[in-house]
Amino acid sequence: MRPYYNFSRVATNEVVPVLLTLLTKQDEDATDEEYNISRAAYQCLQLYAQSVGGLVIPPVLQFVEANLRQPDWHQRDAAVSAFGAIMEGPDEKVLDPIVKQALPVLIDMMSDKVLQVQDSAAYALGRICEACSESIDPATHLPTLISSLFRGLASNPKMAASCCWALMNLAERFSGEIGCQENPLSPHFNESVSSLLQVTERPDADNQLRTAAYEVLNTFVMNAAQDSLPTVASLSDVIIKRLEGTIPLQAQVVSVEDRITLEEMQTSLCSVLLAIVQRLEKEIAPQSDRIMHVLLQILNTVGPKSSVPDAVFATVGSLANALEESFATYMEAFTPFLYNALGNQEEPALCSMAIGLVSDITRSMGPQCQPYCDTFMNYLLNNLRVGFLNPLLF
Amino acid sequence: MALKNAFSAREYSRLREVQEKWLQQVDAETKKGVKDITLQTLASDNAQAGQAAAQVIASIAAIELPRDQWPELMPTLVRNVGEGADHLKQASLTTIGFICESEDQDLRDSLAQHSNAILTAVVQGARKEETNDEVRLAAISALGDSLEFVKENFKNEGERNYIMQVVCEATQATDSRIQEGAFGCLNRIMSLYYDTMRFYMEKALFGLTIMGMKSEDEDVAKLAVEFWSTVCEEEISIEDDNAQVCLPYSKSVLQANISREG
Repeated sequence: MRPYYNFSRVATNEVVPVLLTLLTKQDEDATDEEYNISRAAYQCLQLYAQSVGGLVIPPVLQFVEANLRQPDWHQRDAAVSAFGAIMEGPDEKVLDPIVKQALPVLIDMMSDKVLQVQDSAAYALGRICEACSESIDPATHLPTLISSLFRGLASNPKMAASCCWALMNLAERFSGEIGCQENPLSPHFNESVSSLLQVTERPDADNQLRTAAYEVLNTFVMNAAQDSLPTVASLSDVIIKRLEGTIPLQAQVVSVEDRITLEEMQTSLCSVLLAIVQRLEKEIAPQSDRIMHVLLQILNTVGPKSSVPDAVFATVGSLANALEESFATYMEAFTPFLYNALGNQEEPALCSMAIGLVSDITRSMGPQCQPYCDTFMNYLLNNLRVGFLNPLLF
Repeated sequence: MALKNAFSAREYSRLREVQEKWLQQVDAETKKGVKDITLQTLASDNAQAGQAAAQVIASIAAIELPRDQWPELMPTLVRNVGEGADHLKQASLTTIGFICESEDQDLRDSLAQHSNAILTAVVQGARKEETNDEVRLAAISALGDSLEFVKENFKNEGERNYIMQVVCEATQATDSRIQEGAFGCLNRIMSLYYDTMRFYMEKALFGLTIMGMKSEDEDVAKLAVEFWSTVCEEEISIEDDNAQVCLPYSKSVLQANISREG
């Protein structure tokens, strides 16, 4: 046993109030990466809650109550942040009534007149979704919680990161049992998907906002209950169409920014498609021709050193798993790309991905893969011989 | 300068190559000449020259200290700090700092055996009796870099008391750079030597760090906040470790300890 002196516990009532005061010294011009005194204090408060548990609650609640309605936004912002900071550490049962009481207030703060406060409220809600989701009542809290996060996401790109993070935590926590008929997300599923499809189409959306929103869409699809699958199926249509729409863009790329935007978009769409295929399994079959067609087109048109093929390969792999022996139809068209990647030792990540894909494809196609096995083996043996992939292979 | 550049190759393999050359191709007399000259350059009143000499010495030390080939280095540096003029003191302390912050594993492994010399020099330079702020600053930064090599000294209550006294006093220096250095030391000390900190927490650290968090100087305040982050991190991990040691009744034992201690 190591000695344990309770320094943090003994000092709680001296240290925590100072940290709380320091939280009010936000610098509104600080970039996300900047590390300043209020951020240092936030981190310390988080650790304090983990170290002393419930002891941190009284001074923080006192501070929250005193500052939540102050005219100075620094104080309101600090109050909201302080609450979120202590969600991990204290016993969930102790937090439960407090969180239940705070949820409507925090949701309210999402409409504060200062953007910074809105953003901190979204982040605090994200912390609750992450650490105390048991306290969120699906019937009373979830409707307003979800709609306020979507409103925040739509209102300002600067809030995208916090809102998306909260929504992803929420989707993961409320997915229910695997294979369940419905889950707490079900009543909100359709609306959530259409909000996300809107945000990702917005002309003023920057890459960061779009990518984050697609990630949320991804998470919603992966955590969809059975009764949401029809929506997932119709979503596949939209996503395939959007992916098809990116093909002509390749020819219009003039700047580095254009290229990054296009690649991020294709990667995001491929990931959503992957989630859809995984969720629908065999039911994806009617769409598989279109999916393979567009994926092959992407592989044909991407520039060198692009990371898009990684995403495409992953999606192809999920399709092979879903279709099993029927995937054989696409082998003639797909193998040239696969062989290329297997022999491409300049790009070890893609090459090792291709090796994984070989095992996916052979496992799902069974005896049907026999005509390709000689070539597969040659490439695999060659990779072994080169040896550079050894650590990745074993 | 050329010497410095020759020794501070960025690439590891290149560095090894240079080190091999020094070991095998340079004759003893030349080596002694170079070492003597760089040690003398520490005394230069041109600060840049002193700085460059400090780097060269640290590079040679990385080769020779692990092989016990430069026994007079540490005593010389200690003597410089004790008796030298201010710029020699400062350059010598900077040299010790460079040696201690080196990433060279062989060198790091060999430093514990020089802990007495290192501590004598840096603690002397960091005392509040040192009137030159540049010297004191160089000493407190070198102390921060040397802390992980002085485990043995930290076990000795008398030495520990003295180190803690010097660091605590340095948090009250008028020069905020020295305060920052001192709080940096306290953070490292808390994470390296938590087990011996009870007495100092009660007597001083508790009050000093709370005051530090309220400092006008944002960097000082941040470091004082980080001190408490370090305390929490240590205690979270100690609780985890101890819970694993006594799994069956961990909760109740810890709870009992808490109420007794608290």
